[in-house]
Amino acid sequence: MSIEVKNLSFDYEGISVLRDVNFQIDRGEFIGIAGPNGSGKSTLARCLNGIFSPVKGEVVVDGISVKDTSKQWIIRQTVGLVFQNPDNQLVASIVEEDVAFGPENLGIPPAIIRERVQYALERVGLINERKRPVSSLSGGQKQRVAIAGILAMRPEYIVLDEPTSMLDPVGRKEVLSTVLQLKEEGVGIIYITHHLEELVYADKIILLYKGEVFKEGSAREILTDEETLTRIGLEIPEIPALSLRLKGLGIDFNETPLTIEEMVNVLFN
Amino acid sequence: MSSLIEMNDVWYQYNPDSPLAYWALMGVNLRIERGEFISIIGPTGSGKSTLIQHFNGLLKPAKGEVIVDGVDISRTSDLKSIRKKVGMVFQYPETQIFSETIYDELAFGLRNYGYSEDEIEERIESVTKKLGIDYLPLDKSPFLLSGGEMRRIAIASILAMEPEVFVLDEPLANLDPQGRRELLREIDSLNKKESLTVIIVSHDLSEVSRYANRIIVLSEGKIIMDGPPKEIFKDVEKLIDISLGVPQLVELLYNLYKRGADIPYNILDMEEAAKVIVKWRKSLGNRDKLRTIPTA
Ligand SMILES: Nc1ncnc2c1ncn2[C@@H]1O[C@H](COP(=O)(O)OP(=O)(O)OP(=O)(O)O)[C@@H](O)[C@H]1O
Ligand SMILES: Nc1ncnc2c1ncn2[C@@H]1O[C@H](COP(=O)(O)OP(=O)(O)OP(=O)(O)O)[C@@H](O)[C@H]1O
Ligand SMILES: [Mg+2]
Ligand SMILES: [Mg+2]
Repeated sequence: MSIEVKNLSFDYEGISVLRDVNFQIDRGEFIGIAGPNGSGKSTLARCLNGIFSPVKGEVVVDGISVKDTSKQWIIRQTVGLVFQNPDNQLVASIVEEDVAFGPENLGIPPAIIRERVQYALERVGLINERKRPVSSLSGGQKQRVAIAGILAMRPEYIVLDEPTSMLDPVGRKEVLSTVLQLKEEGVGIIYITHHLEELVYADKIILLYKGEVFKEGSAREILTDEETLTRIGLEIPEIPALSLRLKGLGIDFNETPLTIEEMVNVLFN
Repeated sequence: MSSLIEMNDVWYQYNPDSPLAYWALMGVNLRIERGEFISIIGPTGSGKSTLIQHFNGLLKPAKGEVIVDGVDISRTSDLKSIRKKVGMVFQYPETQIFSETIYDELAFGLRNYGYSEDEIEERIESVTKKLGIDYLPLDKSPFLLSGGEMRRIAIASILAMEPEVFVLDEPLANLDPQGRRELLREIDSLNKKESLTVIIVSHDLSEVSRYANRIIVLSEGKIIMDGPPKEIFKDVEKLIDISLGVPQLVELLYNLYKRGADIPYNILDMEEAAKVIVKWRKSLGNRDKLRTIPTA
């Protein structure tokens, strides 16, 4: 079971935004996507669950083409998308109603919906805010509601478009650990971010640049490739950057540490 | 001369006299001087956006007073001149953008204050260059932009007004890494050369800590810390306690420290951190130099 993206091209009224993008993601896999502003990440995200239909090429979700309009309903159920801006996604006025909206649309029985809403709100730490109006929430609280809304739908794949842009460092870690847990449960994760340190646990990272795949590779390959990252407007994250500097100052690593934990362990050896 | 912004025992409540009543600020005291570069940090929901909206009178305190450049925002009938002085970029740019073209969006504030079309054109040209969005067609709808492009438009439209105080709510969110750095450099140079007063709310602790001369930490509607970055990041436990967190470098150094390394951990500069680590590793040859590991 997988999402296959084959020679995908997309344009907005004749202006080309994605060209010949190819990759595949299996259930249980975690793929990170990074690229400078305007490189086409959010457009790609919308192609993955059929909001946008490819101008050329194909997106196939568990064997079903997103172009098949009769199957749209199944595709949306299979691939959940957390939008870059929560305001584009939040629809109901009360937090718990908003989170229930997705599952309700899928025709799930009320008792199960209640369970799922509870589960999703607990997971994002908003269970105490369940009765509050969405409009009265802070920026980061809204972003968490948007994530809960997709969790409650229990999709097979989740596409997250900058899900932590409004969260504090602790909140970022929480979202990331939720994502890793979902991966363990067999959910396919496509994670778009400008905070490249969040991709250290990705199985694969794809760099988008001007609508094309510029480079792809393992987290270690991509996150230590200072030259490539700098060339396309990104930056090497702090820990690998520090690793490279320490190398320059004579501390030898077999493998460049990516995380704080790795670095601490290596330095205490 | 009095402070640029003064807050005396400021309290703010959302939805007073209703079941949804919520005290978002509780007894805030604050002085901000001209030419400062301040970063306001704090966990989600701690009151950062609420606090800064008092600086140009968008919100008014339920109790206490807010004085901006000598004017009490609760008493003045001339908020327009305060808003010209204090430029504010909102957390979600979409809430601030409403024009049909990028040009009109950038021109809106300037027209409102009666600038000539020539002057407006000149400022738009300069500000779009500064923010790296001069490649965008000015007749395009600002609603058809990517997230990062939209944020740059929102920032540019306020910067074009040449405010004396520049207040930005999460301006780095949605910007790519180099975009974040370029924006901070641009703001920093305006702060240094033109003594623009800068107040930035941000969750990107590492980035803003490198530029701010002062960090204010909010938690549950109160200021709990206020000082230079190096002082703030001495108290790692407190920042973790309020579930905010610390910059990655500080977290790394603190972890080394806790395992027994005899090093300072309130370091925000990469080169400095690298030197400290190398020095400590060299001293490791001699086990005596290992600090005794603190008991938990
Ligand atoms: N609805 C639209 N109509 C026309 N052009 C659009 C539309 N949405 C986006 N674009 C343009 O397409 C390009 C890619 O946009 P997209 O939102 O996919 O970028 P992104 O990689 O997500 O950027 P960011 O990091 O800023 O969110 C941008 O140049 C943008 O201006
Ligand atoms: N209109 C409103 N009605 C009721 N409560 C509100 C309203 N706006 C904000 N609040 C509450 O006030 C508190 C402070 O909100 P504020 O937006 O100032 O937080 P913040 O520090 O900016 O958070 P974030 O980092 O998530 O943006 C939050 O608990 C929020 O839920
Ligand atoms: Mg985007
Ligand atoms: Mg806020």
